[in-house]
Amino acid sequence: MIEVNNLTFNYPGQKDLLFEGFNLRLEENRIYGLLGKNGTGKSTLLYLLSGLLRPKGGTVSLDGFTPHLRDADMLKEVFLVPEEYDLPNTTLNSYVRLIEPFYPRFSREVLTVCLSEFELDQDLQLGALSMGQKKKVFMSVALAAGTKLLMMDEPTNGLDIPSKTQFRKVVAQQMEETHTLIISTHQVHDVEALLDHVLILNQRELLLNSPVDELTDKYVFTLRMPGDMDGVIYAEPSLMGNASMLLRQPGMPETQINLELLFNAVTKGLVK
Amino acid sequence: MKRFSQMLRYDFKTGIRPMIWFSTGMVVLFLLVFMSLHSLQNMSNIGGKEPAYLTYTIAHEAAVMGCVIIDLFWWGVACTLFRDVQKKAPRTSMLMLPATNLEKFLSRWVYMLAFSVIGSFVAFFVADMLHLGWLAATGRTHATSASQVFDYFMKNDKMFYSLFFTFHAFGLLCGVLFKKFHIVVTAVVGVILFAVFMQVCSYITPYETREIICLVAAIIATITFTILAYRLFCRWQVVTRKFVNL
Repeated sequence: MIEVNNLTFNYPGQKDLLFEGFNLRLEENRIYGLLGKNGTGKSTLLYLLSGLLRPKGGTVSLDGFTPHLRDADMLKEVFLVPEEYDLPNTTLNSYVRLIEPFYPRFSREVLTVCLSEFELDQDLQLGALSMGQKKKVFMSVALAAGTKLLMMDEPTNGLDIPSKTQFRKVVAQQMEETHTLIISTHQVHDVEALLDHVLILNQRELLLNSPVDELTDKYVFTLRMPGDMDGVIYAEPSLMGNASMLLRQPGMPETQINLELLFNAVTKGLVK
Repeated sequence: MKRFSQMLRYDFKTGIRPMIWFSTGMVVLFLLVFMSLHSLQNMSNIGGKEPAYLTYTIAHEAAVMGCVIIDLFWWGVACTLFRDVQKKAPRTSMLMLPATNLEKFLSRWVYMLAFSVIGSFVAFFVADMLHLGWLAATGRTHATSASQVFDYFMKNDKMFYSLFFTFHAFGLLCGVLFKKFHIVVTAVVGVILFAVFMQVCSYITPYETREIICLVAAIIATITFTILAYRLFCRWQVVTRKFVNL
């Protein structure tokens, strides 16, 4: 379980606080979507949770560990796929042989399945790969590591359209039920089918922290014609009518969440 | 211990290529030293056969220069111990590896120290062998420098070793603290500190007392610099100030 209490943080050399009195509690066995505009602190929050940044005040706790102390027992249960990452100029096999011993549940089978889903060979020279291919390799290694907590920062950036589909398939197949995944992104369409919990971050505060099933219980996401906008909380014009979000009334069928609509409604203060 | 050896293996595998290039560069540098000395010493001896005493002199001078280069190389290695993890991506990979800060710090230190000692000696030995081969091929007297270099490092006095380790630890501290221009910054700060230290020492009499105080000060400084370097490493973050890791 992850607990953030009264967190205060600013980057070294900067006066403005990025987080002030920030609180968050994340349960296990869920796929969290961490959404927010650029510069609202999504990546910073992931760095704080993984111990790569040290809070100025307050506490961050990850299964009882203090992340910034970087205890080896904590690190073997945490894997971060950052936006910028580093793969050594070697073969995939040598790389896997190097990092495999650090992760007690590392699975070669999972790695093979992920690589095959991403249409990548096993016999790869990492230095010769494109950025998108490197990202797919790194995400496959991350899933194969089998850590209890996996964090991905903008995982679909740099992936082509088929790869984004492959990404969703791989994550849905390989995420074990006992594990937690936090996906930080502003490309909401790429991940909305995966998430079971939504966190929306906006300058210093958490605007929304809600399970997807509660959201789909409470709201309906549908298309409405301009003359039929009764009860609509938020709408955006589209070619087929207005993409609308409205309160779900008794008898209305449950719809799939439209994260972009929800995000815009929340950031405009229309939904709390 | 198992995890430490895994960390050592990781550092070795990811860092071996630049090390090999560095060692090869050292061989070339030492060969250039040998050849430059032959050219300089024979300037007034154009066309004549190099006398045996001159070959011995060159071997001695090459050994002295070799020792200076090796000293500087070891110090440079300490300054640049963490140079490859100053950027965000490699630093993230290193810090996120499931090993303790101590294991990460020690494995890199041990590996680089071992490499710099072995690599520099091997490079000098190889250059000396090539030099000997060249002497034999050109009909000159055989004169090796390797034994003199070995004696310099193995049979020196306590003060040499303590100052050597102090400089090494200081280089390590600056390497952990500064993000850029490690060698230049460490050299400037080191020279200033050393000048102040020598000035203070010069007031201490008699000589025996001065030697003991300097020795103790060097040992204390070595321990302090090393502990500070480690403590600073433990506080490393993925985003820091522009020039220092704070």
